Amino acid sequence: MGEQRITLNVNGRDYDISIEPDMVLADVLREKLDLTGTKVSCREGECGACTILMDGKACLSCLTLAVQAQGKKIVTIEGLAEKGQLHPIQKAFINHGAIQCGYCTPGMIMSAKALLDENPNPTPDEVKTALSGNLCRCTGYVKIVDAVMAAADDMKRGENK
Amino acid sequence: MSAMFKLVGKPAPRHDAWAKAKGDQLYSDDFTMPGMLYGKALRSKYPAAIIKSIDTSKAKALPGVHAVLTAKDVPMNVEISKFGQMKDVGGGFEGLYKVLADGKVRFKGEAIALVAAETEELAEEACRLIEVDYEVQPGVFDPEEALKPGAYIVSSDEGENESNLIMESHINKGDVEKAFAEADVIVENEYRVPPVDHAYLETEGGVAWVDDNGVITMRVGTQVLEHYRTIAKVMGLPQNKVRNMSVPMGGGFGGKEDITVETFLCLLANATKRPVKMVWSREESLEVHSKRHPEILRYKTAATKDGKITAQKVEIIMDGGGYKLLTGWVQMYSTVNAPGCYNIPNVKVDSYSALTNNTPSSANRGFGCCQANFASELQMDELAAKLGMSPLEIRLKNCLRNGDEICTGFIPQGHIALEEIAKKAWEGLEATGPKPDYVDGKKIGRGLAIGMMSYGRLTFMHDSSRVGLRIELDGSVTLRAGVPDLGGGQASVLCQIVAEELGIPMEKVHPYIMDTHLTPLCGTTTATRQLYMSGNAALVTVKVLKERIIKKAAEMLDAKPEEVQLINEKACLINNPLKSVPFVQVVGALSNDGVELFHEGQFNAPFTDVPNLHDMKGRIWPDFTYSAHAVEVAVDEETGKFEVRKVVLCYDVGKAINKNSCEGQLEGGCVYNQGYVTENMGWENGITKARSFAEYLIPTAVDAPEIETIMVESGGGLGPYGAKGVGEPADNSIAPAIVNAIYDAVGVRLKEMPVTPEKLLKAIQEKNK
Amino acid sequence: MAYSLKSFEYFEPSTIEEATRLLSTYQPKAKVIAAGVDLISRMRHRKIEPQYVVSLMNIPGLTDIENDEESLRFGSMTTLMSLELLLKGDKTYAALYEAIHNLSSVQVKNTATLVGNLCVATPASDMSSALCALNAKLKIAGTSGERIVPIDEFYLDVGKTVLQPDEIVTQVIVPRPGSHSGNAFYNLLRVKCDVAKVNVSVSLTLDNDRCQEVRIALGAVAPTIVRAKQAEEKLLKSNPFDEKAIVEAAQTASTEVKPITDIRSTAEYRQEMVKVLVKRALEKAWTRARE
Repeated sequence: MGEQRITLNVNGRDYDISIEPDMVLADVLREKLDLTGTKVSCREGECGACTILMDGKACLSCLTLAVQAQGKKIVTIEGLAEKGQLHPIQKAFINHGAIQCGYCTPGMIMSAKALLDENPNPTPDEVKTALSGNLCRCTGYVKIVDAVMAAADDMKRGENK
Repeated sequence: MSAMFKLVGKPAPRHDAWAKAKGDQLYSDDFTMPGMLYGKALRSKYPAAIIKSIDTSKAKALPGVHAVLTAKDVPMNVEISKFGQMKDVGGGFEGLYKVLADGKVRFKGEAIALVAAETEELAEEACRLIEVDYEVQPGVFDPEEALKPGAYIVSSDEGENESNLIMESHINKGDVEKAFAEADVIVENEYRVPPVDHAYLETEGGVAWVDDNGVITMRVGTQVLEHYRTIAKVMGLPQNKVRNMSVPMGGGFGGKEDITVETFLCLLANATKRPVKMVWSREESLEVHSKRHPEILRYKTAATKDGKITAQKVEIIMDGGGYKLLTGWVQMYSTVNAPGCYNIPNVKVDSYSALTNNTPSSANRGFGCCQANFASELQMDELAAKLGMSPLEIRLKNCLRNGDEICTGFIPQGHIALEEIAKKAWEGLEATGPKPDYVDGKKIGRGLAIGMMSYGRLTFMHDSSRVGLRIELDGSVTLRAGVPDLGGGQASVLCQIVAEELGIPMEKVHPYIMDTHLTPLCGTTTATRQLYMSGNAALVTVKVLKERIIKKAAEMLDAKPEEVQLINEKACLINNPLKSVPFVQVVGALSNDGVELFHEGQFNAPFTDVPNLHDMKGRIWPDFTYSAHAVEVAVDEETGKFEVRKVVLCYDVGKAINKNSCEGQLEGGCVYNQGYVTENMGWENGITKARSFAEYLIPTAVDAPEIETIMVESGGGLGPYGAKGVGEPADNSIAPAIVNAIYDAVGVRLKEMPVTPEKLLKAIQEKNK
Repeated sequence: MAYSLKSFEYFEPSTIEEATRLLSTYQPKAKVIAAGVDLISRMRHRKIEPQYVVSLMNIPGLTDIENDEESLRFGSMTTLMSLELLLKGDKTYAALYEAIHNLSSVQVKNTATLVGNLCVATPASDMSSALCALNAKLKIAGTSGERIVPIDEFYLDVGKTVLQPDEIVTQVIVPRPGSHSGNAFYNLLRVKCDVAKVNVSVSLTLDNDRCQEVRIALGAVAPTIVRAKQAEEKLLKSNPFDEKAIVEAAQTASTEVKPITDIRSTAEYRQEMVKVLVKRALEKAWTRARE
């Protein structure tokens, strides 16, 4: 029924693209913008692998029409590092062995980012709740929760500097 | 020297962690090529049917469709699949692999035709236009029914169309009947375990194309690179003309051990001469790829009054599903592990596997062992309850110790730490405080289970691995290894070993992995073998180069080679570290001398002959890893709902080479096996009811318990530095510990998984009647 | 499940009138999209294949929330998360808070709207159950004007509501419970993020030792959310209203429904759990009413 021109703001940059309105955001990010860091695993909102931030909130890009993401600030895993410096959550995931196969990692990190931006002092239970929409089959979640707790500490220290 | 490790034993970040944290890692689905087409499989609507005819004309006529293939288009459609072993084992072990259904459809979702089209939508549309004329058959969905005379025959293929029996295997040790006659107590029970999906986050997928020189090339994540040989056969091509430049997997757990999309992609790429991508949907993945074998296990155990087990008799019936795949191999694991990790003088095991019209069963982390472990560990507690002994007591009384033989008469060479780890796990849980009766109105219970599982493949497969190293002139090292990395850090640990031996930082060793034709073949990432096999291969290889470097360095330092060590990117005297020469200078000197700065080494596992399946004896695997889990559960007595609150797990890992990776395997395995208790495929007459993650529920961060990991490092393994393998053994003994803990809480033991609140409540109510 | 969605034409009207006109023009081939969480999933499964999709995103006022002495009112684009944050720590609408709090993942709650959930008309909807106990009403707009429908009367069957093809739910109105009132919600899930096997919501008002008003809503035990009216009757008649009356009412409630067996649970278990959860919910609501 025809393509539509839209503008998406992703990782601080405006992209003018032409898409079919039936395309979900995950596919637009991956196929039109070559941002393949956002993963697709279940396409039903059960696994969280496609989690991105929209206006700072963790959202499922596989269940969002790209046309409905216009005018929002979208951040994907590719937009976390600043000037080549990894985000403290990324560093913590690396150092705590929270990454095994890595397929859930981008979504997991985005959910963690949304949590820590809103709640810089979470308890381990709050971390678990915040990540309960992100499935991981490799780690048993132990090192992921450890990494998020460590990142929270690290981010606080960064602010106090 | 061994106490002086610089890298081994440390929680070193893996070489690929940065790319994965940044979202830069390109998995199977993250790769596209110009002119790429999309492949789809048309799948059977029925679990059992005869295909009378297939009409593809409408699909072929659809504009944008470039190929529609059926069984008759496959050069060799039926093939015996090998799994990288050096030896053709035969005897019903190697599974039949069929690319596309012809004759009988054997399970629902079996691929019947393949389509390549310009878009995914067109490929789907073309699949809908293919007309298949089915004659629906009654089918058979229960392995015991399948083995009865007159049962519906699943296969129409030669060699397996007379009976549904896949294999039988037996163990006869001592005289069980005599032991039963003399027993003080006898415990008899039947256990049932369900199918399990791997539920990796990345579904099966990849891209294939024909390269400039006519080589069919794939980019497909697989646990078994060596499948290129079977794929070449299917394609009617020489083995050097089919290449997989494989990619890291988003999880494997055995589900990417059989061929998945490879042959489909190669056939479509060859037919269209265009790159083709195929990625399975979650629904396809849940429905069609192989599952863990469902099994029925019947136990009869004899013991003395004081708890010494004198005999164990086990009958096992395995559901192989629609194709044999790896059933024969899995059956070895179930059969030999049936008696559990105990020293029992009289053992009889009779195992049978059958074809049915269910989704095929094949490899799934634990590979037949976790089924037997579940049953045997429940049986131990049943015996303990009957004798009034504690779960720990009965296990300590009977568990294997160094020098004991297993049921095949083989005496394991590696250290057996069962007694130590069982105590540590149980005491670890007790140390969290005395068991409360109730918490938040829920009844608390504690349970224990222990286990053993092999690492390394069946020794009659004659397994080997190779690793190649090249020292670069700047002192960095290029490692080449055909090691499929499914997320366990299989490649990274090789870098750690090489860096340790050469005294250089880990980031100076870069791995090039997983290319069938450009990296030395390491064998499969299965059977918990990569650290053991490729770790030893890396060690063997680096030691050759290390010797050359030390010899040259000794010359340069005017010392004897045995006085020199490599450390901190230097060669220095052991007794006088200040007397040193930079590593890179030694490398330069060797290069000047024309000495080879590369080496490819091979490590062979112990080799044995194929056992007599009617009376299995001797060594079956290289060695075992031992596990213990102490678990605390809370049960809501009114709703039957239970939760796993705490797990204390203890393993003898031999040596934890990468502490984070090793713990990560144990924790991940713990939750994977926790899922075994509740996950439900919802099979009904060959139909899979759980077709999404909304129905197939794996544990989330909130469902996972608090886990305390205790690693014992005995150094008593056969891997590098005395390490043992942990990948699959990690997925053992949690499920039975949970069920045993539920018994401790409410006095009922459910002998069939999945354990649901529905079943548990019913059992509680019946007990209270 | 298909990988991609069937193509459709997409509209983003800026008024309710425009939206209802579009729906009216393109019915029955048009569908309303709020956040799309449920719609996209069903479209991928080819359970629905709309040719026209009308988004409510750009209509002003639909995310407004008002909470005063009279009632709690929120527009149809209000996300579950904004309601959860609003109601946190406030026992007035405890059943609604608990229903949302127990539900699904952060990601889903951040985008999914409560009204979107209601309009799917799944018998297991925790939100419908809570709102039913709280006697909520829905404001509905169509080409011929507005109407207000009590949530009890909103559902016809599984997946079916009284909404006409040109109608849109624009607002939910939850009357504020008076003094001596309490409400509570309970459900049973297989894992954290799951659809309920059974859910129970209860709202009651005390008059000294009598129960003056009570509503018991049961989910996932019938084609729609249902009320346990006989149990409610018993409670209203009970004198005094006490633990014994609660146990009896819970028993009655479980005999009022005929649930089915599916992949999530069995009929027998569901029936039994109605008893357990109604008892727990009444006890909790009772406690809250006396606080």
